[in-house]
Amino acid sequence: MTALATGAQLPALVRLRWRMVRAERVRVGLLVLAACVPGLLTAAVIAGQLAPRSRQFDVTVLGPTAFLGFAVLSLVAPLAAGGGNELFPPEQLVAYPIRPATHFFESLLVAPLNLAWMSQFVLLFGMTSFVTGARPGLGLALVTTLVYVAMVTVAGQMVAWVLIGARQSLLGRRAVWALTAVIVVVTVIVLQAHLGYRVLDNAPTKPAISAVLAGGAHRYDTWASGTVALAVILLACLWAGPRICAWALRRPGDRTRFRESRVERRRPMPPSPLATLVRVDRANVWRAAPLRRGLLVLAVLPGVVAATAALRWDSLVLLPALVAAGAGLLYGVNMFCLDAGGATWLATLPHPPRLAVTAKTIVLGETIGGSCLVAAIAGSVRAAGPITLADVVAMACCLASCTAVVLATCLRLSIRTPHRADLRGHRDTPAPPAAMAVYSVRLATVTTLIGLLFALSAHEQSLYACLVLASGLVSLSGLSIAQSFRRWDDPLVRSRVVAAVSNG
Amino acid sequence: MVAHTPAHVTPAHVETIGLRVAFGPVVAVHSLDLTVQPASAVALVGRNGAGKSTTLRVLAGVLPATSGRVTVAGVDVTRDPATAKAHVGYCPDVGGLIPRATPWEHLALAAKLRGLGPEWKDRASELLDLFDLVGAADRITSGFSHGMGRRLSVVLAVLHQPSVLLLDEPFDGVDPLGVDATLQVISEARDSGSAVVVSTHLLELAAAACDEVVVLRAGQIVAASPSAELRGEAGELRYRTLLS
Repeated sequence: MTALATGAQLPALVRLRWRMVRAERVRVGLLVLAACVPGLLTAAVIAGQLAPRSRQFDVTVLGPTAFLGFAVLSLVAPLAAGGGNELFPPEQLVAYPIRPATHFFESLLVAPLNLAWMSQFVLLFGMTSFVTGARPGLGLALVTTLVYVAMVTVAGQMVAWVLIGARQSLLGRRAVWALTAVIVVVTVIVLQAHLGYRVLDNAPTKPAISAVLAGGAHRYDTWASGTVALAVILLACLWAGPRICAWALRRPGDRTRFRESRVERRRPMPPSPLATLVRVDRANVWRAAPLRRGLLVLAVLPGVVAATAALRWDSLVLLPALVAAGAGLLYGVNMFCLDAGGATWLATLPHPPRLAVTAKTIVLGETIGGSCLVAAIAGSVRAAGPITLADVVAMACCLASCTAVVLATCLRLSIRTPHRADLRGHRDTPAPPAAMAVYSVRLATVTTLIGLLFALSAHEQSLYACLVLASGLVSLSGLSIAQSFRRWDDPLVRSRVVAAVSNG
Repeated sequence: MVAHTPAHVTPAHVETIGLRVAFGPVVAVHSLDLTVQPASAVALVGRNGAGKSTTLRVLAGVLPATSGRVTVAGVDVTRDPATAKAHVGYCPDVGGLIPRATPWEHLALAAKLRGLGPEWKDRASELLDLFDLVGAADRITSGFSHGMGRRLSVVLAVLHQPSVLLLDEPFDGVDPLGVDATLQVISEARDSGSAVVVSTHLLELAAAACDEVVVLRAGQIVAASPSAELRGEAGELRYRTLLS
């Protein structure tokens, strides 16, 4: 008896995942979200056509950089997710003969359920429309962009699997760290030598942009050769990707086993029950491979990108907003899953119910606030222009507001829709992919709006506006957290959460 | 239903009167009356879904009863859950461990939340030794085998020498030495005056560990008998008849 082909396995998994979305309103929400994608792409194309053409040249020059940014995102996203997110956690499929190719393609399938990926995709479509202008060749240019997006997404997934496979051994991990160090050193040298613009001007994505422009200008030969080249690379990655994924999954990983068999140091007993719970929760976060890696990527990468781009101070204010949403998505949207099966045991210990939820709230607050702070500090290293008091206040207020808002939202979601999640494997997420997509839209929309408001206040140098806005947002979040705590007091609500995170 | 020690001598340590637990349309426990006296051990046996684990979860204060009265060590679990939990030691049927905390961290957390004195460390070390977990005391539990996890759950349940000990499937996947250790702590708890309730599918071990065996079916007690009557082939045959 042989396993079903990937072509049969994948639809079966998708159907099962869809059936497992029990709530009608969630299904409707997901369908509405899916229906929004063509609308957003169309809107981006129309906006690109209607926008004034005065800066068309500048945007065309920035094209290779934008395309390169999307390529980097397409690599980092699956890498941060340990090879890409999945429709089901691996332990739920362990009894089934799932092919590696199925794993590869299911990760590809859920790649668009990533707000950063989707927003960049829409942006590239809008940019293509803008640089092409109102010409009949717009369709051809959009085809090239579409092929490019598909190519770098598949290639990013493939490269992520290469790195994950390599990291399964000590030698491989050292090689990956060495490669990372080389990239960091080269980046620093390029920045110090003021060669950044020259490097970006010669980005390897220039041929893709050339093909896009050729499509718009009816230069069919150039367009066809460029687009076909992208399509060939896409096909090659589609052929190689599943094989590399199979190789990576076959590698006898020693990393997780090493972590799980490592002896942890005993420390003196904390002074209070709350401090003891906080310590356990903190250890639970830092000892989880996907959370540790996610925090590292979240805290460091946006800051490094901002530093590389030498953003102005009033633009840098947006950074905590972007990081806060990501930090909440790491585990905050389902914070009680940290205890997994231990939630049942914890519930039998004699302590006020609010103690456990307070500890989790503190640790999540630290996680979100700490990530934002690290990102802000990293980004400010090379910030352009003179810094003013209003910039500092706007940054601090944005950080506090976004942390408070994300914390309140996460606590509410964690109590309302708990999920079982072990967060043990590299690809584990705190909730199923569709739920994560909804959560990411929800958190990112709110934090981006908050960030924009503070950026505007910083731009206007309005200290007063920053302080009033932050006071309002933090107070509202405090009220929301207090309301969630009151909900948690209900033993029925607690038992439902405990049952969900312990047993699924 | 089970009341072998006369009720007027010592108040029961575990008592449920008309306990009913419903999950929407599904009734897991249906009007259950159960009494467990101090210094006695009762085994709950029955098929999957008979209501054994649900009953123990209610007694442990994890799951609120839909209706009925539940007391442990004379404390109403619904009205004063924190005090009730202070008297109870509970080993859940599955999991029961925080995945990335070590056994020692579990024990320290339990000691702190239960307000135990510094002597808890000696007691914890003894129990870890008894259950052969000393070598794994500082490794995170997500790397544990199922049997190791079960053994640690029993250790956590008995750390504070509770007056009510609730063990849900404590023998599941546990090696013979672990089974012996579990039988020993049950015996010690009973000898020290605790009321013990053990839920298990293993009739032989239930009979060995407990004085009484209560058979549940569809959330109701269908039989209760001294464990001696359910030993051997005849006992097994009777049990199977009760199950069907």
